[in-house]
This record gives sequence, structure tokens and C-alpha cells, in this order.
Amino acid sequence: MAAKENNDNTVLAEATGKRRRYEVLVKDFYHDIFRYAYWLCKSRPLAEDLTQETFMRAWRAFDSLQSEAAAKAWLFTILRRENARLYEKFQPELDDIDEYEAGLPDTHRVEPDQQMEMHLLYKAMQKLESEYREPLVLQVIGGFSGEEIATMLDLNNNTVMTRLFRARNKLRALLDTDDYQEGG
Amino acid sequence: MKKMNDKEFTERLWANPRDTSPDFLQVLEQDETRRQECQDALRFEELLDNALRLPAPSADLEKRLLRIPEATRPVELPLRIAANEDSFIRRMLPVAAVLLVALGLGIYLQPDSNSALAHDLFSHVYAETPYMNPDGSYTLDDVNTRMVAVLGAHLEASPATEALQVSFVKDCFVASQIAMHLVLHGDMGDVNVMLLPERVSASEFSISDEQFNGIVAPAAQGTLVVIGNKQEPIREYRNLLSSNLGWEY
Repeated sequence: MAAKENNDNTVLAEATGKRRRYEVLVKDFYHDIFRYAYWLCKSRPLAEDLTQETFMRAWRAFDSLQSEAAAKAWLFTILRRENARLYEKFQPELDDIDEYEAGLPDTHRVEPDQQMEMHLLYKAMQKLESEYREPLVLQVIGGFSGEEIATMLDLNNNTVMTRLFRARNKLRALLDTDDYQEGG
Repeated sequence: MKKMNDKEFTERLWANPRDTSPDFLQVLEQDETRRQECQDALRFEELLDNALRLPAPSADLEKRLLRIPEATRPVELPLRIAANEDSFIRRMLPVAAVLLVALGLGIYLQPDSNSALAHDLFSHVYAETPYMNPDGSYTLDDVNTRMVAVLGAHLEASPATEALQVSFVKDCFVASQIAMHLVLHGDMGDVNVMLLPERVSASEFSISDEQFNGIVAPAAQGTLVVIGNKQEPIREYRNLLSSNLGWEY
């Protein structure tokens, strides 16, 4: 009886610990996962669904997470697979909403004269080809190194660094064009 | 340490303005002009980082994610997955999860994948329920406008389909597909209908948990899911919807 009670307590403690670790994972990474999901699919509602699906799969496979240090890369990989599955056969027609109008987060952090530049940069990112956008998003949002990005995208490190360099140059060029066209 | 020429410096700077490699930092330390270029790159990087924060997620996204362990708690075991309307198959189906092929009937059952699908479907319903609007009201035209755009499917207009009281219409990501999720006012409460663009099973099967019964049925090239409270006549909804469902492509 005592042994069974001890076993039950152990099981309960493990379940509680697992739940707490999952909650920490959500709090630490959900925002970055959402941001990455958005720049993969460019739809806010779909990005939220992808985020939800990612964490659902993560919870189900939680015991396979080898260390908390690997958690971020693990989540990003799950998300990339879900996104790939999504677009395998059918590309849905999604609302063409200017989601910039959904509002800037933390607007008190952004100087008013920078907000126009941010708007232009946001638009420029929308136009950037995916081969440049994806490694850039992984670096800026995910904080991954060139080697890590190379592994995730199945490229070599030199290709990744070249694409990152070209991505920023293209954005700066698009920014200058838009700036000119908007009379800025 | 090998000197870094201008081309190499520019390429490294704009590939990663936050490069902290010792050789890169040393170059910055030794050259005022390059330090200035680095400051420009870092200002651009800050703008980029802020631009990539757009748009913000819904305020309740974090809460929804934290509820996932609750929403995906194990359903009543054993999960009841029954082949419908065929008592011969029901007698032959073993309790353990095995692959069964019925020659001649061509029925192919994968209990493990059906269990996983049932989990996905119920989890989605539980996760979405707090965000449904019971006072919502959508016409058949409203539903079809969204369904055609997202799914390439529509419901044929008829007195029966036009009489459906739809309170929720949303494209959702469920079972690894973009699906349409509708909520109808049923006799015993909400009836959740999900239309998936792909077939997930060759034949219809039933699912259930403590609260709901459900049907997962092939519908042309896709899948129709109907989930309702225990006493809800969900087969009537299945019949109505599957016989009025048209796929554009």
C-alpha cells in the first residue's frame, strides 16, 4: 500500500513537473514562434493556428525533448514541418488585410520618426523572396547562428551567410525605392 | 591576425551586424570608420527587429497555448472507434490496435492513426470553444463565401441548408490541414462541423469522449467531421451536409 502510494506520488510529481516545464517553454518562446510562423505564411490567423499546432505537437512529444537548451530549435523545426505540410497540396486564398494596421506592439519603444521606416521595412519584407526571407527571419527572430540555420535549411554555411548579406542589401534597396515612391 | 579587406568586412557586417567573433571585434576596435558603419548597420538591425514584430499575436494566444495540456488530456479509454453498420467487421476487430484489411470489402482500418485524429479533432473543439460566439449568425452565403475561398468547397442552397443556424465560421488548422470549422445550433447544443480538404480515412468511423459523439466520414475528395453532444442526432447533420457538399476542385 505504501509502495503504491509512493508510486502514485512520483507519477503526480512527474506530471506536474512536465506541465511546469511546458508552461515555461510557452512563456519563453510562443512570441518568437508566432513571429516566425507569420513570416512563413504571412497571415496572422493562420500563424496563430500554426503556433497552436506547433505547441500541441510539442506537448505530445514533450518527453522526446532532450534538453531545455535545444527547445527553441526543436520548436522551430516542428513549426517548419507543420508549415510545409500545410502547403503541400493546396494554397488557400487568405484575407488580404494590411496586418500592419493590427497595431504595433510596444509602440512606446519606437520613436515616431522611426515608425514610417518600420512600415516601409515591413512592406519590403513582404516583397522579399522566401530564399532570402527565411534565413533572415531565423537569424533575427530565432537568434540562430549561420551554422544552425544551415542545418535547419539543409544548406551550407557559406550559402546562408551570402543569402543573409543579400537579404539585407535587398531590403535596403527596396526601402530606398519605397521611400522615394512615398515621397519620403 | 590576418587583415580584413573592405569587401570581406562589408559582407560580414551585413550578413550579421551582431557578429561577436574576436577577429571582427578587433577590426572594429582598430578602425573608426568601420565602427561607424557598424553603428549604421545596428540601427538598421533594430528597425528590422521591430518590423519583424508585426503584427502582434492575439492577446489570448498565450492563454490558449497554456491550456493545451488540459485540452488534450487523454480521452475516455479505450477510445471508442467503431466501424459503422457492419456487425461482421465489429465482431472480427481485435481489441489491440492492429492493421486489418478486409479482402473484397476493401476496408482498411488504422486504429492508431484514427485515435490520433480523434485526439486532434476533440482538442481543437475544446481549444476553440471559449472563443466561439453563441450569438453569432451567418447566412449560407456567408458560409459559402468563406468556404469557396479557403477550401474550394460549398454547400448547395436548399431549404434544409438555408435553415441551418450557423454561429461560427472560421478557417482553422486542424489535423495538419487548413479546414473550415462551423458551429451550428443543434437540438442538444452546439454541433461542430469540420470540413477537411483531404481524405483522412477510406471509410466512415465514429469517435467519442466523455462529452461528445462524432462521425468522421469521407466526403468526395475530402473529409466531413460532425461532433455533437451525446443525444444530438449527428447522423442527420452528416447526411444533410455530405449530400449537399460540392467541391470546386
